[in-house]
Parts: sequence; structure tokens; C-alpha cells
Amino acid sequence: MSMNHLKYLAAILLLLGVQQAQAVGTLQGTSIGNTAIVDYAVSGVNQPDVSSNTVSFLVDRRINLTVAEVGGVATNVIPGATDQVTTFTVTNSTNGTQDFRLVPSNDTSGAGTAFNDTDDLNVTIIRVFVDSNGNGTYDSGVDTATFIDELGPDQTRTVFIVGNIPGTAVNDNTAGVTLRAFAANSGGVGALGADATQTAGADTAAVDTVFGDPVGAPNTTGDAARDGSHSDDDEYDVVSAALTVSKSVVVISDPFNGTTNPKAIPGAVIEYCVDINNTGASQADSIVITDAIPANTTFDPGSIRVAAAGAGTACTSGSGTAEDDDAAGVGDAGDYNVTTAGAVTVRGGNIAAAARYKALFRVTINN
Amino acid sequence: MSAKRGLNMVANSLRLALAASALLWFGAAHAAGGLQLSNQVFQEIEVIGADGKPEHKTVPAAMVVPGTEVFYVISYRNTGDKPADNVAITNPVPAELEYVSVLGPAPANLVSVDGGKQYGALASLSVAGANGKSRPAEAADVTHVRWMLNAALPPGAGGSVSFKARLK
Repeated sequence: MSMNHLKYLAAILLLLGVQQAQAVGTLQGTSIGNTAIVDYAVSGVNQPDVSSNTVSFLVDRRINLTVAEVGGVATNVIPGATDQVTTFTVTNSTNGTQDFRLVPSNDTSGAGTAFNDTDDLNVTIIRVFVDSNGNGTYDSGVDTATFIDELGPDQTRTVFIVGNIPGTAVNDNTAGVTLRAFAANSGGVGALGADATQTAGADTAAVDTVFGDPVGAPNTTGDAARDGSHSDDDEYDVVSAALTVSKSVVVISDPFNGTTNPKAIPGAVIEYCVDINNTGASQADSIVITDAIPANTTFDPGSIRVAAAGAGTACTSGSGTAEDDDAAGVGDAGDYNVTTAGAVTVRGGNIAAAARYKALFRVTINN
Repeated sequence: MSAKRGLNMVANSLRLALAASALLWFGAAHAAGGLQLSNQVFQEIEVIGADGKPEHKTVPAAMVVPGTEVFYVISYRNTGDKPADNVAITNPVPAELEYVSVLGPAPANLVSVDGGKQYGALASLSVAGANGKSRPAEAADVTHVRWMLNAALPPGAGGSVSFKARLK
């Protein structure tokens, strides 16, 4: 038995590096050779070992890739905002280096979106950029590549879809977007290769290509399994303030009935309640209420009350903070006939989402 | 598909492969004497038959990607004029392949899991596990396959042995 021969062979095999990236398997183009040896004796005399031919095959390319949304939540945006970003990763699971052609798109109106909303908005000037410095953040002017170049087996790159939000968008609009990546042949550093194609027909002696990718995100038309592409969805949620103004009026007193069932007759004191309701998902900043007093009435000096309380759209008379009529003083929140002629002006500050702001003032009906 | 049906399919493929290898011998130039070995590699592919149903076909391995199973057929023949004794055929498993099993009716079949130093039946071998403790050897641990003929091989006689492996 030629143990030395076998030991020598084993040692060589152990020394040879195994050309493989762990998860994707043996690299395409690797040549796998195999040789067998027979050891035998004739009439009790050991004969020299005999080797078989070495039979080989070439490892072919199996294309696989994964596009995945990053973050797990929608990107909140406000109407009119520009360069708003949704983030994805593209992972190359091919047993070889590939380029990837990137296609961003708006989802079709009415489609279900990544986070279970209904698409009813398109972002404008939709663009795609590859994260060039690996910081996971879109750096305008720095991340400028629009395709993935030379991504190695088992490697991942971050990709951004960037778009503008129309100024006409309103609170609760949802813009669903999809990123689709197509495996492309490695076209040399800095150049995008042609889309990879599957080897049709008979196997060749060269490296053949098989597509092994799964089906893409539900909103992508045409992204089937084994088509050399993959995709995923993300979405932009428009959050804005949405203000509803309600005005109500109560008769406080009249010259004849006093405060018992007063009527709105000349000489009566009328109290107006202005209620601002923010039904949006975003705070409204620096609200200013301007209310011209009606014709045939006279403003009741010192009657402005700000930050009043009340149920629903009504105000509780006497609640809130009294304001003088001028526009002076620290943090002055209201005036009459100073900021705007003939009108009550109330500076209400910020109204948080799902909150209200109320203001009160009185006039007397002219005789 | 069931294991038995799978085995039958592979057995059929093996018969085809053996027939193919027998044809090879007629064309081969013979040396002065002694044993001759030939090695071939095949894979099973699925094609749509004439009746529109999928069927399995054995072809020389040419479309192999990670995960594909291939099988090697080693054919031997005694081209000398004296019987050959103690015939032992050894095939080191290529590094990029994972041994699965031997195929077909084989003469005494042994494996090595230690790079060819020791041989035995797979069930009787053990290796050092990840934590350093000994564990029973598995097919994936096999580094070499060996077949030993249990009788002398007469002049002119021959046969084939075969094993299956999967590309990592």
C-alpha cells in the first residue's frame, strides 16, 4: 500500500486554498478537477500506483441578489420638501462579482404600500444614488453614483431613493416607492455592464449563468422569480398640520334682560369664541388669528382672552388669560386695532397635533 | 420525491453512465499491461420529455453551480496478463465538493475523514467537534473514498465504482 503517495497527495490538497466565499459557495469560473488512484499487487509484488485521467468541470455562475428596505418605518415628510430620502440595501448573493443596474419608481395609485397604507401621491424628480462612503446617510454631491459597481460575492451596498414632495400634498398622503435592482455583468471598474442573461439551451464549456433570485416586492410589476432582478418597497408619509377654524357667538347681556335670556339687540354685549383645531399629524407653528369686528359693533376694551378653555368648538366664558388691547408688553399675545385696523389679533404660538387653541373677545351692538 | 424513487433514478443514471464508460474503453489506447483507470463526472438534469412531462436525464457535468450534485464514475480494467490482487481504488474528494454517498452496488467501501491517514466505514469513524469533543463523523467530513475489491481481478476483467458529491 503506497501510504506515502497518499499522504503526499493529501498534504497537497490541504495546502491548496479552497476558493470559496462562505455563503454564496464556490466562485464561478473555478475549475474542479478529480483524479482517482489504484493500488494493487501482482503475484504478491506491489505494483506502482496507477492514476486515472483528471476529469474537470467549470463552476458556473448562479445569479442571486436581495433588495431590502432599511429602517422598518416610513419616512415622514412635509409638503414641498425636496430631496427626501428612503433607504435600501442591495446584497449580492451571486458566486461572483456583479454590477447592479438600479431603477427607482413611484408605486401605482391605489396600491398597498410598504407599511400598509394606500398609495395616493407620487414624489417628483425621483432619483437613485449609491452610498459612496458607507455612512448610511444620503450626502448630496458626494453620493453621486447611480449604479452599483463591482459588488463582490456576499457584499452589500446601501442605496437611496431621493425625491421631492409636491407642495400640494396634504397631511396623510402616502407616496409608495420601489427600488428594483438588475444583476449586470461586471463591466470593469467605473462602467456598468450589460444586464446578465441566463444561458439558454445546451451547457457550454465556458462559465454559464443560471438565475436563482426569488420574486420581488408585491408592488413591482414583472419582478418574477429567476429573472435576474429583485426589488423592495418603501414609503413617504406626508405629515402636516391641518387647521379647522370655528367661530361661535353667545349673547352675554342686553340693556333690558340683563344676563337672563339676553337678546341680540342694540346695546347687547356679544361674546365671540374662535376655536382653532389642528387635526393634522404635525405641529402648527406661530399661528396668528385675525378677526375683524362686525359692522355696527364696538369692540369691548379689555375683553380679549387668549388660551381659553371649552368643550368641542365652544369656549368657556371667562376662561383663559386676559389681554390688554395694545401690542406692547412681554409676550403680548393679543391686541385690538394695532396689528390690524378694526380687528382683534391673537398670537396663539404653536398648536400641537390633535390640539386646539381658543380665544375670546366681546363687542357691543351699536345703538 | 421519495428516497427510494431517487435511488432508482440514480441507479438508472448509473447504468447509463456505466454503458457510456464501457464505450470509452474500446476507444482507449491500451498500455502494455496492468490496471487502467478512467474517471468521469455526470450530473442529473430535468428536461421536458416528448410527452410534455418532466423527466431526468444524465449528462456530463457542465452546468454546475453551488448546491448542484454531481457523481463520479471510476472505471477500472485489468489490461495485464496476470490477476491483480488487493486492488484498492482511492478517490480524494475535491476540496470544493462535499461527499454525499457512494452509488450503486460497490465492493467494500471505506472512507477517510482525516485526510487519508485512516480508513473505515463512515459509521465507525469520529471527528473532533467544534467544541473539541469527539462526535460521530458525517458525510460532509469525508476527505477520501476508497473501494477494495474482495477478490483478485482476472486479466481482462473490470468494473466501475461511483460516488456522489455536492458543490459547496
